[in-house]
Amino acid sequence: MRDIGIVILNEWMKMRHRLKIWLVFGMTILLAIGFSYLSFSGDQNKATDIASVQKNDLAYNTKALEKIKKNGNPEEIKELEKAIKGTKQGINTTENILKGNWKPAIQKQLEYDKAELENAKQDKKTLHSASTSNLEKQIAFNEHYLKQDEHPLLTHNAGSFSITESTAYSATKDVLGLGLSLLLPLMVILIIADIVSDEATRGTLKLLLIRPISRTKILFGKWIVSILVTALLAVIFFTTVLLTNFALYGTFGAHAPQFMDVSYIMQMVEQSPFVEPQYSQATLVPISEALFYGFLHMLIASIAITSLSFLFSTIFASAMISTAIPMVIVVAGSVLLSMSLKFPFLRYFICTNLSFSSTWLESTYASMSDFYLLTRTNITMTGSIMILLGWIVVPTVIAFIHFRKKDILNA
Amino acid sequence: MEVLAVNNLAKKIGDKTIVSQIQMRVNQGEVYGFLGPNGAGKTTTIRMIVGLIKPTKGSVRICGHDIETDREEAMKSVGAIVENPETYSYLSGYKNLIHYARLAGIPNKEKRIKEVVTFVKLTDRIHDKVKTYSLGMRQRLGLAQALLGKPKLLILDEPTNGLDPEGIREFRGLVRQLADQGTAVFVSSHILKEMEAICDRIAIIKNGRIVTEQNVAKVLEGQGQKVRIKVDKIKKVEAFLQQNEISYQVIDHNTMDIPIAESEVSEFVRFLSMHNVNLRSIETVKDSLEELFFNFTADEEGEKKNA
Ligand SMILES: Nc1ncnc2c1ncn2[C@@H]1O[C@H](COP(=O)(O)OP(=O)(O)O)[C@@H](O)[C@H]1O
Ligand SMILES: [Mg+2]
Repeated sequence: MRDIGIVILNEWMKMRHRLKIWLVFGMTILLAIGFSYLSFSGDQNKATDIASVQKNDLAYNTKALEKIKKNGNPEEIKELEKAIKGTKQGINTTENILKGNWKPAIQKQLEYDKAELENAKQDKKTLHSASTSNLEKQIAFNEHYLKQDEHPLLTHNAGSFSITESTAYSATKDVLGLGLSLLLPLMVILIIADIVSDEATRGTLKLLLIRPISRTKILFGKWIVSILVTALLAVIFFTTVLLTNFALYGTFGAHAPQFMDVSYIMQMVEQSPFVEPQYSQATLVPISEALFYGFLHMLIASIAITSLSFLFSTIFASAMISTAIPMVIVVAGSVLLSMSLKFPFLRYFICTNLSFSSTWLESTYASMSDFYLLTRTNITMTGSIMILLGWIVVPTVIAFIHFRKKDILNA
Repeated sequence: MEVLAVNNLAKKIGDKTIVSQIQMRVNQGEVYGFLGPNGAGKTTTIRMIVGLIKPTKGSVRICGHDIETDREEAMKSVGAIVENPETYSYLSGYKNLIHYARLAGIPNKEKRIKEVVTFVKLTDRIHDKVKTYSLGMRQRLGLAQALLGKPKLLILDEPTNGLDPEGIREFRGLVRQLADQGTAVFVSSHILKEMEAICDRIAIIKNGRIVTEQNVAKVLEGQGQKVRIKVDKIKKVEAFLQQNEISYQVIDHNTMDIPIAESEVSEFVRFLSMHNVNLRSIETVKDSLEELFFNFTADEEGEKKNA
């Protein structure tokens, strides 16, 4: 134990005297702030905007109705009238929430939505559709607010998509979702991927390994420091994003509902596929809780990247090669995953599991492709963590076995 | 006391045998020279001795501890420089020593570091970053880290690389001092001149095999006197020497070396003039250690070829 403590002290001393780690920390903070700010300035879903979006909707639909009222398709007319009714109900709810009179308004909206859902389920055409899924979601959310007895966020349900009032929490979720699949892994790789190979490149490894401490202990010390630094980096990233968003949005909204572990099923509706979220089997938690799980997940995902980088660092004597290989894996992986490949085994790929928002948190980006939904989003948090644990254990074990017996020839 | 015992050591990488049949013993207080041209296998042997690479065959024992089965115990008695003494260039010399002192488990680190830094004369620059050091200063820092744990066995791989003549002289002094204090010093080099002055014994390695091991004092002691003469009728002298079964060495058409003691020189000169041989010059010469070793290795290689 004492030996490992010594190795940890040494490794931290070496790490903090190199410029690299501070550059990476600085870059991570800057990028976290930058991303948060960009996402904020592109974000239009504020409370007043939802009200005006709803008003625009109403005006647009009313105009459209007037046009086709005389000799239009009766079915179309019926649909438009329904949409107008729904929007009016929404405007009513929004106004009441803004007035602070939210409880009766939500109760009323709930009744309305439940009736609508009943109707939608009767009709074969609307049984599996985006608007029905959205209704289900809205009902669940409003029940959540009543149960929490907390002020609801404003939503505008426009059938196929829904705009929800943004908060620091939802923005954090979105920004992290973007940063986790590429930015954070690359930063981790920059710090960790040369923790052993840099010493081989510099030639210091041989003088390090001729001490009366076993190689396993030395490697273990390096491993612990890698994990600690990775955790520090993850904390820095997460905290910076969260604090920046607190500064931009305020701290309101910790109680807002967030679905976790939503699975998707492909439905064929009139020969066209519809990917249906299964809200009834998903878990609904306050978004602050979901972010806490998200943080745990990103910690584990980062450690998985660390373990992989660590392995390459023990195998290759060149710092450049041991850094380049995991970088290529992460970059190529994210390219691969943006293609519409339908290989179920891709769910076990490390890159698939890096970003919680594309795996088990219902994500705004999750509608990009069918593949995305069917092979990736159907991973639960626990499942994803299991897969990541595999990516931690296997490379680490190989690294230790390999390093213990390795001939140190060229360092 | 035997500090280092290397038994029948061999290393193969792929199909290539880098070294084989390495057999060495180094005792307490002894300076052992490990001499050989570049690429002979010195560093490879040293890497096996300190456990950086696994021998294909043979064993290494340091103070009785086997390097493979009892590595930690064995390494407690060893301080070493392997190849170039690369230390962390982004740290100061002092921080480097702290780093190694921690790993060696040295009590009262600061005091011991001060001692070794004074010993290698690096006190002025010890708090500067190593990247600002000259090659010679890096060698000294390398020596300092090797000495931290008061090793019973000090292994130095080409320690005079990058040192100027003054530095080499100083270095010899340090090594002698350590040996006098009882440290066994194992030092490799490709330059015999640097070794003969400090080593008690020297092994010569060529193409991965030890070709000879000699006790320096004995070699120098057993070295006979030689005179080099320049004469006009060399054939005549040769005939005479052959008759009397005296060995000689022809240097060129009128010069030859003859192994006779100084006391016999005047008699020999008289003999030459008696036989009408004109002596143009005469001087006594000593074989350098290098030549002696060269003879040994040449002989042994010759024998092997004949056998
Ligand atoms: N990784 C390796 N693979 C194959 N041969 C090697 C390797 N490293 C060194 N050698 C060879 O081993 C021989 C001995 O090298 P070395 O021990 O460094 O010699 P020295 O230290 O005496 O100059 C050289 O011929 C070198 O080419
Ligand atoms: Mg060498």
